[in-house]
Amino acid sequence: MPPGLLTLLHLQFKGLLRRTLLSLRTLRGIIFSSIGLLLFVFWALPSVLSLRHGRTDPALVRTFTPIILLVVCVISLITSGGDKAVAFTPAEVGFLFPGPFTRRQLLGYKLIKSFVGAAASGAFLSLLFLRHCASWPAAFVGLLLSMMFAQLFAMTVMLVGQGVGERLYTRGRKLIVGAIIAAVGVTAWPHLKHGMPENPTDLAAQLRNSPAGRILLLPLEPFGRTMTAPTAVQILQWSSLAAVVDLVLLLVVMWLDVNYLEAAVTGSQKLYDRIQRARRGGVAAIAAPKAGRLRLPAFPWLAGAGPTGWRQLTSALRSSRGMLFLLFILAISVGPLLVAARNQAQAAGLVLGLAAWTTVIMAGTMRFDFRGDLDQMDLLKSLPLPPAAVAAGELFAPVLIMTFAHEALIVAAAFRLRSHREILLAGAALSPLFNLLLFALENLLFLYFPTRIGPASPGDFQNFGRQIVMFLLKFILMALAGGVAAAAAMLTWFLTRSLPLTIAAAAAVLLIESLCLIPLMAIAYDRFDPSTDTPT
Amino acid sequence: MIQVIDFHKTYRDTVAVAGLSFEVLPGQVLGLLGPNGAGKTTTMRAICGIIPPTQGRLIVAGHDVIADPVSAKRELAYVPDDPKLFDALTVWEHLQFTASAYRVPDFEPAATALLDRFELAEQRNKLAQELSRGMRQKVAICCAYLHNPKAVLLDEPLTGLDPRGIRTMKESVRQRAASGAAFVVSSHLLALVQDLCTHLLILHRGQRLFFGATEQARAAFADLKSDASLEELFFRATEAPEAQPVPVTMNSPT
Repeated sequence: MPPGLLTLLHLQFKGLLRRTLLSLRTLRGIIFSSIGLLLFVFWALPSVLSLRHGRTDPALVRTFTPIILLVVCVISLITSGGDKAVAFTPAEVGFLFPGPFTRRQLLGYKLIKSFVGAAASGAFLSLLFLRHCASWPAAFVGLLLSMMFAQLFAMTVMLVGQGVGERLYTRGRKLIVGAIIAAVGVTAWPHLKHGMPENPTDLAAQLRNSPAGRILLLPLEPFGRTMTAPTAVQILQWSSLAAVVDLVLLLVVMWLDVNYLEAAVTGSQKLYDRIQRARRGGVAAIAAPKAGRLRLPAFPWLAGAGPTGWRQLTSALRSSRGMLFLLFILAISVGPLLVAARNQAQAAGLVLGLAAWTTVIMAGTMRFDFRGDLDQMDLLKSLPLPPAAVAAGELFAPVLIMTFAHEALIVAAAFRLRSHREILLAGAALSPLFNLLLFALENLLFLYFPTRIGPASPGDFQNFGRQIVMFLLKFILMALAGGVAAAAAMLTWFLTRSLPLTIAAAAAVLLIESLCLIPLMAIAYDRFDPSTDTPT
Repeated sequence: MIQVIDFHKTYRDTVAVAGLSFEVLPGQVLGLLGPNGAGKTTTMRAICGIIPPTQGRLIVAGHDVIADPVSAKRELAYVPDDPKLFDALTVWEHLQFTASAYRVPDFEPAATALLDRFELAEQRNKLAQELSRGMRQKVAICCAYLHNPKAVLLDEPLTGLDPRGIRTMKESVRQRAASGAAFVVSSHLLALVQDLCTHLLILHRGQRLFFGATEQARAAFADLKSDASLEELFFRATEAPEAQPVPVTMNSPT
């Protein structure tokens, strides 16, 4: 490894430490970091205490770990085509690619960086996963080797793809993925055709012990075995085997010596662009927007809210193909899941779980509102639009999309949950107002405490602490607002025993709460100073 | 110092550069001109060894960029358009890394002198993410100059620089060229090219329209006045190029 690359690694590590320590020089930094650290300790404590009792059955870990790694491999194969490449940061492309380094040296640099990152992540994750492992060393070593396996496998398939040519590679990986899915499907079908099994562990064990499973999972066995190895000698034995698997992949990567630089330049730039889009619009905006045939008609003026609403909805529809596709899949797949559920209670649980997941995940990832307009605040504030109109317009797209997700879920559930249809109808009626309240609150808090989505590094307790504090604040405020609406609904029901009036009472409270937040949003937006309030 | 011989670059069905040949001798400053998509950045990246040629040879300071990339890259420096720095590193650490990568012994005096010259001395301990666009450009230029490369490739080097920075940049190019370095400067700022460059290479859709000394460029297009500006020359060369006579070229490599 040339000294220049070692120097760079050393300087980058030093820079990361410095950034972490700098954040502790402000009171807010200390508070958020302390909260983050405290929460991490609370999160890890049960796992650490489980060393004495309450540990997961090692057989479960040995069963599931290879299957999880196999799924990771299949995902790598599926997603490795097209413009995927070994990713370097723009600065690395600019300095290292024209620099006096060979391709292998740059790969070595990349892998060392990945190893250090995996070691840091492994140190934290090993505490969280301790209950599933025999000891901390077993957890750490097993996780580290597993993460390196995932990285090396992804790198290998990318380099093989670039080496053999796109057409041949695409055909090859389709064959391999198809063969794996067919093997899993043939093994699993006899157990699935009568409905979902009570215990998925049995299904996993069947897969693992099938002839196809044994062949596919054999090289992945040492990773789970390492994590559950009860003695130091066994940790050493199994980790050595796992390390051999990693080493084989490393040797393949180095031996190939594919000229990946050109693909890496393009791929890295696209990855960088995706990260920048995600920092602006959340995970939902990662895909590059494409105009396509989609052209929304112009919205009516609506006191100035129309243009903003049109812009955000157009951006959402053009940038979030992946998210919208996921929503569509969710909506049509919930039906078979509900059919497969054994009883109404299980079905109701599925619906509630899915609704909660969509709301929590999508509210945070779908930032087609002020949160995604952080870099356009200069432009927004220069427009001749009243702040309240801008605030209302910014809420249109996320509320509409989230409501669509909820309604699709509810409609799908209504076919199955016959005895719960009235509750589902109430949910359908209240969903738009609930979402309006949710996103109004999200945006109000954002305007007062603007943040950017950034890459998290292990040990970034300040970022973790800040996210937890904001999440708790949102949760408390939503709970309060929702509580008032629920109280009004309960009172109305008690007095009238009429479902429509009960729903109307809850809706009225939610509407009043939402309408009160919009002027607050307008004030916060009006006060927002892009020169000082925009985070880096 | 820089020789490009029959360079072709094709992406699937798109020909980015077709049969390009030119050379830049020590002391020469070659202005690389062309409309957007002409193949300028592709050519520069190929010379730096970032992208492989589909066909052809690229030689830097006597080293083949494909056959012996490390030796070739030791002799050159490349400053891309809008250079990206390592956010977590300070200005000084960028120079420290560059010195280590190019094995520059006792780099501190040279690095300090560069920072003083480009007015970055006060930003020495600032993180890259705290710098303005122009300061980042200057840091990239300082890093490029630190190991005294024999070949320097600059893509839009003046973007973001203030007037003093522009003057310093131009002076540095002249001084290093006078010391024997070969420069390739790609820019849309024709005034810069006119002021700084000794030779011109005009590209259009991957093809060479003109290569030669700047003062002979006007003679290559018979219908141009003798006092025509570079802007007039550029538009003459790039508008309906297929209708033009084959221009006279000078210093073509054999």
